[in-house]
Amino acid sequence: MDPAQLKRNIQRVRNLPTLPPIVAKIEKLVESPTTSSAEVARVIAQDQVLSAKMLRMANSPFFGMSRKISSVTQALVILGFNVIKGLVLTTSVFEMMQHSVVGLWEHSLGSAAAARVIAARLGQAEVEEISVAGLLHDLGKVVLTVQLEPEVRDAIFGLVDEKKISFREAEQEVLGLTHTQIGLWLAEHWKLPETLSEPMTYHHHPERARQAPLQTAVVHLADIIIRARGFGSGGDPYVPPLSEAAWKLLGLSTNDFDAILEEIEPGLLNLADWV
Amino acid sequence: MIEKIPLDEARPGMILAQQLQRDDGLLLCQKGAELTENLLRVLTRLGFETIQIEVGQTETPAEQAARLARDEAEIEARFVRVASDPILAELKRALIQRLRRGVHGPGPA
Repeated sequence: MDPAQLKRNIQRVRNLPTLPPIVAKIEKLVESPTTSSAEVARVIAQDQVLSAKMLRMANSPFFGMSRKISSVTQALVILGFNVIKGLVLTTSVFEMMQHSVVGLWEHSLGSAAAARVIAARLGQAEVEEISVAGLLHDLGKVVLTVQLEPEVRDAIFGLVDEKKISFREAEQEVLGLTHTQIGLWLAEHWKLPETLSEPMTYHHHPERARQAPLQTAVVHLADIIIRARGFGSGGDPYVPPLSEAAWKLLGLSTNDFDAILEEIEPGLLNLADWV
Repeated sequence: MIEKIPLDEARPGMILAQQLQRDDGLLLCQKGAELTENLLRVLTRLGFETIQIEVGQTETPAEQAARLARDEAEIEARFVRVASDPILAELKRALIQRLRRGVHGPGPA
C-alpha cells in the first residue's frame, strides 16, 4: 500500500467515535470532590435508554452478581464508576457499529464472562471491573471495522484467509498498526483508568503492562480461552499464543481449565438479555 | 427429536433446538439454551412466529460420532498456530474431554 493511502487510513481510524455527551457530563461531575454518587446516578437516570441498558447488563449472567441490582444508584455503589463508564462506552460503540461485524460482540461478551470467572477464581476484589476490561479489550477492532473504507477492511479479512495469519498480523500488514494501538487511542481519548486501558492495549503482550499487570494477564487468558472454546469471532479462527510471564503471574494450574470452562458455559447460552 | 412449534405455545424450561439470530445476524441464543420468560418476551417483541424445540433423544449413535469428529476437528484447527505450547495443549485436552462428556458447547447433552 502506498504511503499516502496508509496515512489516510490512519487518519480515518484516529478520527475516533464521538463521546456520548452524557459521558462527558458524568465525567465532569466526578472530577469534583463534592459530587456524590447519588448525583451521578441522577444524571444517568435522566437517560432512560441508557439506564435501562446499564441495569440489564449489570444483572446479566456475565457479571454473575449474587443479588439483583434494581437502581442506577445501587449499580454505582456496587459496581463503581469505572465499571459504569465501561458499560456506557461499550453500549455506545457497539450501537454505532450496528453489529456489522457479527461475532465481535459475542467475542466481547464471552471474554467478559471468562475474565469474570478467572478473576473470581483468583480471589480478586474487582471482579466486575476486570469483567468490563474483558468486554472492552477488542474495542479497537470495532472502531477499525467501522471507520475504515470497506475495501481496506476486506483486504484485512482477505489476508487472514489467504495467508492463514491472525487478524492482528493482517492489520499490521495492511495498516501498519493494530487494534491494540487504536485501543490505546480510545482509552486516552476517553480517559479510562489503567485498569481498563492496559488490558485494551497489552492483551497480546501482557508482560508490557505496568500499572495493571494482573488485570491484563486475566484478559489475555480470557481472550485465549473464549477463542479456544469457539464463541463469537475475533476476526480469525486461531487461538492466540499464551504469554509465559502472564501464566506465571496468574498462578493457575492446567487442572483449572475444566472448572473455568464449566463456569463460563451457562452465561454463553442466552444472550437475549443484552438486546 | 426436533419439533417446530408456534411461539405462543413455547414455555419456559423448554430446550431450544436451533440457534436464534436477529435479522441483522446478532446472536440471541445458542442451540441447547433453556427458554426463559425474558427470552420469550424478546422473541415476541422481535416478531418470531415459530421456534424449534427439543423433544426427547434426537441423535443416532452414528450421527453423534460424526458430530463429535466434526467438533473435535474444529477444536484442533483453532490450535494449529499454538501447537507447540504444552499449557495450551492441556486447554485443548480439557475442551475435547468436555466435548466427549457432552458438556461442551451447543447441542444436546
